[in-house]
Amino acid sequence: MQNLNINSILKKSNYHRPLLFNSVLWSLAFIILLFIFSKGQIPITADYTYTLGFLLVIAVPVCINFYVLIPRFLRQERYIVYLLLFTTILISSAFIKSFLFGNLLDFIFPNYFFVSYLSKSDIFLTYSIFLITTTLFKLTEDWFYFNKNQNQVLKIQNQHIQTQLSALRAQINPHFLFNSLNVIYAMALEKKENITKAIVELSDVLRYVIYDSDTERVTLKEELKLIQNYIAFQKYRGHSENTVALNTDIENDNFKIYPMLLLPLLENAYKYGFSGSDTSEKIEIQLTQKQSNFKFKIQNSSQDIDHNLDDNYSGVGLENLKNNLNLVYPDKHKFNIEDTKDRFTVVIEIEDEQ
Amino acid sequence: MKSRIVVLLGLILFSSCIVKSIQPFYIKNSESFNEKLIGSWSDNKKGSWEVLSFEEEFKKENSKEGNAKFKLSKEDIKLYETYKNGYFIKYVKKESEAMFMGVPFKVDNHLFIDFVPFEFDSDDISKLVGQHLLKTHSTALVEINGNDSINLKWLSEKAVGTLLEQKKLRLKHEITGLDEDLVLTASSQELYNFLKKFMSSDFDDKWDNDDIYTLTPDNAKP
Repeated sequence: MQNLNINSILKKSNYHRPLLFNSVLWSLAFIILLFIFSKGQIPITADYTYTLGFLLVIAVPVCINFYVLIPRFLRQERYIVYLLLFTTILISSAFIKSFLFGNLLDFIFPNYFFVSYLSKSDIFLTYSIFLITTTLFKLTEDWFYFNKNQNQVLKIQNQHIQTQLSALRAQINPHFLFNSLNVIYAMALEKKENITKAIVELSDVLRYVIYDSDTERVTLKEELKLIQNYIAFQKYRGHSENTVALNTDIENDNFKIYPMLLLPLLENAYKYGFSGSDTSEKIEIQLTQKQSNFKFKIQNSSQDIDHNLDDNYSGVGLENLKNNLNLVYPDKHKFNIEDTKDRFTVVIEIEDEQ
Repeated sequence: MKSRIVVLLGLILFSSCIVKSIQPFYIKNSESFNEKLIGSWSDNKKGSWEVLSFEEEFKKENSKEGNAKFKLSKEDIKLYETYKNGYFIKYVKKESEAMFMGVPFKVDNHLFIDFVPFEFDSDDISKLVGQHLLKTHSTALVEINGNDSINLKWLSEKAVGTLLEQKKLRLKHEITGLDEDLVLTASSQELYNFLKKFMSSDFDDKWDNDDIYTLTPDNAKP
């Protein structure tokens, strides 16, 4: 299973729209400052000119803050350096503004009188408020897009998990179908009378596997029925129904579990639990459900065959099951395999509040 | 009584075309006392002016009262500090008399005087009228001519009003009263900055001829 590289997704998903951000920011700033500079009266030509000039001049420290100080120091968590540089930029730009801006405006617009605007002391206060506000505006924008990125990553992760689960299920279905068709084929060769019954029973199993199991959760009752159908079907393969000892202790048969968790273990037990000649060999299944706890234990005789977590059918069998459990019940399950000389035991235990 | 009402009306008429301001037009470090203005003058509008040094008059007044050691109240000290570089200005026209406080100040190389009326006679009726009047400031550019005469060019409503109408000037002001008088409400610093720009700008009708007074010294030879 491939791991998601969130950083690469974040890098690729650059939702920042500098043009939009700056358009909104500076338009808002223009409107607010124009309102302030015109003292709440209808703005006159001098107000528009002064506001525009003010914004052009203050854009320099704001852009330095946005595109140099914030990315290089604030985002790198170098807070003290950032604060020092921010204060330096603030004081120096306000100082330059207070001494040069008025003269510059008078030089460019000799016939305009920009008088009742900002005094020198007001300039420092206005610069402080403007730079701090724009910084917060920028950080808000950063947070907005970071949040959007995070949500996108979560969505991608979720989709990825769903894709993996579907892929795992798709791997089980043809595997099971392949085994079953082999059985039917063998029965057809032998011209057995109950082949039609076998086909009906197989179709019941397949209906469940293909359609009913295509949900997030199924009831324990349904999953148990599948196991029983499967065991019944196996008699056509020469296994007596008595070869399986199915013991259940279920408190609530509507307890929901992830579909197709148990069948692969049963398939595995049939596949490796019989040597062919020894009829005394048995598969023992213990299924228990109490409150939020669910436990499934299956034991079969060991035929000295690698029960494999790396089956030749890559991804099939126990490995599939292990992946499914990790995805569906992260930190809420136990999956133990005990492989001794004569017994092979698998235990699944799930703790799931419902 | 009649003559005193005339004084008041005279004051109103006198200031009908000049720009009035709530705050003085000068800032503290722009004050510039000029001794040349002290003396008696006659203007081209049949009025006579007497300009006295505030500091000297203040000291004389306190000496008269026997306060040789200048035991002054806080209000007196405040008044002295405010106007020590200024003038008492008495303006008489057609037997009507009005007193102004005048503070000379420099805007770049230009000498201005900030005028504010401070005293006029009043009886019961005119007193009531007087209580409705706000003593506002006005300012005039002082030009010292070669023949010892001086020109007082008042900052006129016409010039400032034109700039406001043309939307080229942002200066705090109000249009108030039945006559829709223009009253500047800007701070002294803003008014001073305005005068700086006003003097360096070049535009038509900067000065209104009706608000230009030419003062000739009374002791001048005819």
